[in-house]
Amino acid sequence: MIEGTRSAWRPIGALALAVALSFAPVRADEPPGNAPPYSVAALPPLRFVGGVIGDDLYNTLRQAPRFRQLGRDMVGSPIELRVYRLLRTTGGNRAKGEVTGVLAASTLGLIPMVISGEHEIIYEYRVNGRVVSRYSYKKAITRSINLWKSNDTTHGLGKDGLEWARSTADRFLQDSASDAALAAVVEEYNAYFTPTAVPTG
Amino acid sequence: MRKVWARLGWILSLPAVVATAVAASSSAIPSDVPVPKDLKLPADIPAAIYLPASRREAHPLFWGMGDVESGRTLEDEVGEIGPLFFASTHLIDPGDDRSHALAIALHPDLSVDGQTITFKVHYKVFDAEAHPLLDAEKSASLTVGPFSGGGDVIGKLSQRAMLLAFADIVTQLRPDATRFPSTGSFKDRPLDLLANRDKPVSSATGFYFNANGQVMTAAHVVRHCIAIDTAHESQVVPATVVASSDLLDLAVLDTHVATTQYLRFRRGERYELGETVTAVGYPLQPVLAATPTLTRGNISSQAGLQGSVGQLQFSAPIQPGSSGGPLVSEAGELLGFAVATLNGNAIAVPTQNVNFALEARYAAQFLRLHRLAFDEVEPGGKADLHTATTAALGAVVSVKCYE
Repeated sequence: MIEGTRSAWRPIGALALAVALSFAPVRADEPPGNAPPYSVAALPPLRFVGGVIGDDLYNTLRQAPRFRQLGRDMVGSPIELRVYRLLRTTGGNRAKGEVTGVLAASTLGLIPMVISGEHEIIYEYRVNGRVVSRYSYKKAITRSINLWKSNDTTHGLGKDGLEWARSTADRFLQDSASDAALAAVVEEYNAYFTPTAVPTG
Repeated sequence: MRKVWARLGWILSLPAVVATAVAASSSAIPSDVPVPKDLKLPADIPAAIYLPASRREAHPLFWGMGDVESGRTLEDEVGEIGPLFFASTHLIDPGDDRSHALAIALHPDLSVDGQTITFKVHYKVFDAEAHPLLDAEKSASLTVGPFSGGGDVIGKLSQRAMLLAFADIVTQLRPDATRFPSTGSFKDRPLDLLANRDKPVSSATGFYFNANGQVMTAAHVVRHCIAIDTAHESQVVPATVVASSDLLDLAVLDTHVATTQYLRFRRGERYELGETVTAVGYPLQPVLAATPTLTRGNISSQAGLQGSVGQLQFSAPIQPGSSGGPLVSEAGELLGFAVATLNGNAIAVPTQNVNFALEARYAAQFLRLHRLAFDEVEPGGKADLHTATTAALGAVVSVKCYE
């Protein structure tokens, strides 16, 4: 029933999204958790879902030997790598954002709108929809925005934020090189289906 | 033009937004949420809270907005509101060994009626011994208009409804450590009492594959269920998951009801391209009557979508709810079961009857691996429409999932 309300809220969501997409970084990343010592050298065909900062992350991942069979068109693969972005706000900074938003709007943009929130880029391995492992990279961001400017080419992250977002691909490659849950999935995959030959490394 | 109106909406909604923003910034129970003044809050007891798995990580604001989602989840809401009323709160997971004095099952629901959005929370409260104490619901509504404000409106509605629900719980029960000792846990207690039995969250299909009454279905059908019912010819039987594989999208359920009407595997588990198949299932429940739907077609390809493994393509029509439904040969042998259909809307191309089933040989391999019984028959037996439909209809069951 909840899903049925998506279209009804799109205008409001779009407005909030436009606001949420305009931020700049101020705090260092949080480190991801320790990964268990299992090697995942070669992965079977797996589907890529995501476009957080266009194709940048996808292209970086595709260069890694283990992701040679990663593809947006692998729509039938039971294994999926999904990359998406969250914006977490507390009640306090939601309120500040809304108050400054109202002030910004009522002064016709003379006063900028200030919004704070924690951006999170998440890499998830999913098997037929179930999340088997998750890697998360966070950055707290505060940004002053002009309501009348909307041609942001940094995907709402600001210049430094965009660099941070790009860097998460390399960090994910490093962090996920040893993933027990994914290794178990690959082992099961190879037990049922012919192992797919791909370069290792 | 839409941008101008959106910006104008912000200006017009100034009073409402400021009021809501101020309320949202508070970390105390808002003054307009009714709680008895003599009640000491937060109550000095731990509360265990159940939220349906499919709702825990829902991000209502940005649904359908692409790769950026609001991180505000119902789990976040409960994590902020619960401590206002109880000394400690935790979300219940299966096998949870943390102790609690009260268990609270929250079942949120969102509905749209014209311009009015309503967020409803149905809640059930149990003591440490799982005795029911309270069963009620609260809701918050908003009529959308130029003065309704921007931002996370649904988040505010859910916050309001949750606050009212928690306030009602403490008002009705007046909890403290003396009245409600912290002796309960869900370590060895099934979660089914927490389920909303008013309606299933999903309904699909399965089939008996051995005389023990074990049922095979698709794993995605039963993924988040805390209670499962199977039904065959009006006989409803509770079931539990005994083995599953997300990779194969396969799950086996125990019903503990012996049966002679189960499907046998074709020895060797091979099939012919173009072979006639019968598909049977319980799609579109409860729109369609609770009787099995039977369709016929053929095996149209030995492979599924790009990147798929272990699947065959078939043309017998299926609909939502057919997942887990058996694909049966003219001789009544199991050839596979339905797991997916091609959504033409998703690829902007009209499609007809492009459906996918897990091949029986992988199901057989799974059963051997898990030492679960099944029968095989030699190919070449009597093959006709009657044999196929009798076998399929005799073994098929509906599967209902409750959270």
